[in-house]
Amino acid sequence: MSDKHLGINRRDFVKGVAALGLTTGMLGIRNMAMAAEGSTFTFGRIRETKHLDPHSSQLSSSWHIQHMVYDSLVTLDDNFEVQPSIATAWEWQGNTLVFTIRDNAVFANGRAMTMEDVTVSLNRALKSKGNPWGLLLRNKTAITAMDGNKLSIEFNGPNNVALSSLAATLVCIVPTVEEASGEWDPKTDMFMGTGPYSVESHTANDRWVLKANPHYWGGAPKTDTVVVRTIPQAQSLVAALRDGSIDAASFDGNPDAPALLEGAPDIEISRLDTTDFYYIGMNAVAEGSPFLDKSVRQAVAMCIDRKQLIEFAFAGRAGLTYGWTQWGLTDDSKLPIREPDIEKAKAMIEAANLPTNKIKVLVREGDTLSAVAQVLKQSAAKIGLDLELEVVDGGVWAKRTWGTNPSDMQMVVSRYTGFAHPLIITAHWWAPEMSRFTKGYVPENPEYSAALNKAVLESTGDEITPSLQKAYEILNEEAVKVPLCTDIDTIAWRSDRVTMSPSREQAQNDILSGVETFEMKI
Amino acid sequence: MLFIAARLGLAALTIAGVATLVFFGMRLIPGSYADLFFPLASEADREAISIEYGLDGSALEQYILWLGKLLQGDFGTSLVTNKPVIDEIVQRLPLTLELGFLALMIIAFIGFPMGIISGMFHKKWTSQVGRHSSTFLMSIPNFVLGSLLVYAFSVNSLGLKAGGWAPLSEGLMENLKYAILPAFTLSITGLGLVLATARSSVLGVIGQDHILAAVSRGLSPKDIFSKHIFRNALIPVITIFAIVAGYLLGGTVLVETVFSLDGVGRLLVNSITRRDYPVVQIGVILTATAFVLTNTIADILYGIIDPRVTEKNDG
Repeated sequence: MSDKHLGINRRDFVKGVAALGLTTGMLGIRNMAMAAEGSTFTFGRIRETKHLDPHSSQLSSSWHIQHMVYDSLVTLDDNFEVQPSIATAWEWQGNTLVFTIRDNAVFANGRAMTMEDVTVSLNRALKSKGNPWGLLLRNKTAITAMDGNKLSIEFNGPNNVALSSLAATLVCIVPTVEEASGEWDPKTDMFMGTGPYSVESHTANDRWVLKANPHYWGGAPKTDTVVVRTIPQAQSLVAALRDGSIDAASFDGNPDAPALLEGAPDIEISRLDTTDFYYIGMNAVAEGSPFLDKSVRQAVAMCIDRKQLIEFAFAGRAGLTYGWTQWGLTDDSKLPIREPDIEKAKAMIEAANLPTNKIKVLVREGDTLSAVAQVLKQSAAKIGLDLELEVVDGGVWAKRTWGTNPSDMQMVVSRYTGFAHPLIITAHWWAPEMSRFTKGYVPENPEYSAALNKAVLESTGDEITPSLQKAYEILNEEAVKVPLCTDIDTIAWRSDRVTMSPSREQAQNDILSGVETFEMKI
Repeated sequence: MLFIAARLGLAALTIAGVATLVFFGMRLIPGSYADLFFPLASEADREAISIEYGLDGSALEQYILWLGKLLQGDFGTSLVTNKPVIDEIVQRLPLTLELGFLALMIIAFIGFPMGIISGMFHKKWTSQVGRHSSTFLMSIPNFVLGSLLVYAFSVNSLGLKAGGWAPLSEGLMENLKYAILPAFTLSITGLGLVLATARSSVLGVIGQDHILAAVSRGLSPKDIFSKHIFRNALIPVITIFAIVAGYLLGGTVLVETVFSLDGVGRLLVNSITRRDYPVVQIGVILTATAFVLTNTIADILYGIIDPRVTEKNDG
């Protein structure tokens, strides 16, 4: 038998294949920007930024980065109180909100921000496709730059949600001159604003590298470079923290994070409470849905044992809430449905005489949501309902829940961002005539809408909270959407490598709030 | 040459079929890019977004448009990052290729010799070890092994890294610190499979009459092994090797996710969940091409090892 066939010597062929493999491996030299020692702060997180244009970014994972780059007119402190940012002061003059705009804000490219940047940015934001802030500021009539660095936003009546809603990155200030000239493209990942950092490079699903904005109005950031790495596995985050590959990490809602970090030397852990919350939604619109019957919805709401849910699904690390009360403005002890009452709920289900006890539940994929759904399944079984869980990805979930009318589901389990003020979410996300995307499963309720309109657009001062309380009581009694608990994040950092004071309360997923003050020790 | 031409033609047809299947398959998944990324937008806004991203029109119209661009070398732009798809993939390809290459090396230099030894010494304890080891290795899902390794090495690293990556430019040793655990995880099923196949191939050959005849002719054990046993046992192993190489491409999806590695596998999974159609389409085409090429190379290798294969096909 000859060693040669097809003009190829076998030995040479094998050598060639080996050489090809090695060459390919060598070509694997990627231009990864690794964190340099010294003034580089490296942060790990589970989720990746997916939205690029800040004015249409509706996913909280995008805000992690955008908060470091873009400034809004105002910002929030840990008590959700509005604080100065691009605006140094503000006051209501009748139904007009007048801001004093700082004169020392400079974009990362060195150009000083102008009043035109502010007005064009705000108008751009409110016109952006999919930006729900147009609804929040729906009674706005004009945005005007005035003499003396003053900006006015005129409304045709009160708007009790306006000021705190202007803290979001969805209405941040962008470099409008550069956008017009093509130097800055909002559809790319090269974020540039007046904030403490701007994006130097980005490798999707891997890392963002941000450089300090030397012109930042708050003073030069203490760390030159911030690297934000996406590490989707909590265990890998722990390993990276332990071996010093990263200096700090956010574990999102992973309830096991403290246990995973137990005993690790030089690691500090901080609990970050948020206004975000988990909820169930029941389809009270689609023909044939068991939840057209209010008593069935109420029975489900009544069977939920939130304390057990928090213990099992969150290892005890979630905030108890019965309504939309996490901002502390309203009193959830007055809500009609609170503690579980299994006997009553069971009797209500029996009286409803449902054709089947099987309920299809659409669950957005994610470890925590699946755990929540499992606990709910056990609770529902106690009142004779059999929840059939269908775990789907975000796209399928969004299509069947929000993109179809009537919604193609009977019950959903998901999570909402809470934002800075209860009116932002309850006034708009809850009322189908406002939010539109919930029309497929939330019926219109004129009584609720009237209470909300009163709270948002008609009340002033002390009148706001009673109107809000009334709206919450209606929501609770209607039981179409039922809040389960608030979400928490765990922030851990290497105390031997970095000095940092992470935020303790968050309403806008600004998990690196104050990053410009973080200081490396090495 | 006819043999090679036929194989290449079949490979091209397979790739075209996969490309078409993926294009329409992606559009059958409920929830579009606009549904996912602009959930709060009005219906009119979502339609406008679809037009802006070239996702309007029927699937067939989109397919014809996409195919036309593809044939002109335009691979498209990622809907999520707004960067050229080819850049997104090429950037991650080295990591995935290196992982696959290392896994194959582990399989070739550990699994194959172990299988041969296990088969050759079939009356000794080594054979039993080989048999049970192959079953054990094949029965461990790589994501389970990966998760266990990540957990174990996150507590006590022993110098190895359970997550993240250092490119070769940072030095071979630094690179291997990151690559060993995922490469071993990726290799585990292939290791068992090649071990089992090599063992059974050797056992199958060793009992045949021509081996007994060779022994009785007084050939040396070395000659019997190299001329009769090894050569005959190699063909099924190459077949399995080609299948394993294809499997490794799919296996990288899980391994890259478990070890948080930014490779092509993870890019594809993320792109599917984000409805980033252009990235998925090109990514799957490239993966399918690699798989088909691996099998084509295996076919050609048969020809080199056993010329009867090409002679039969050449007619």
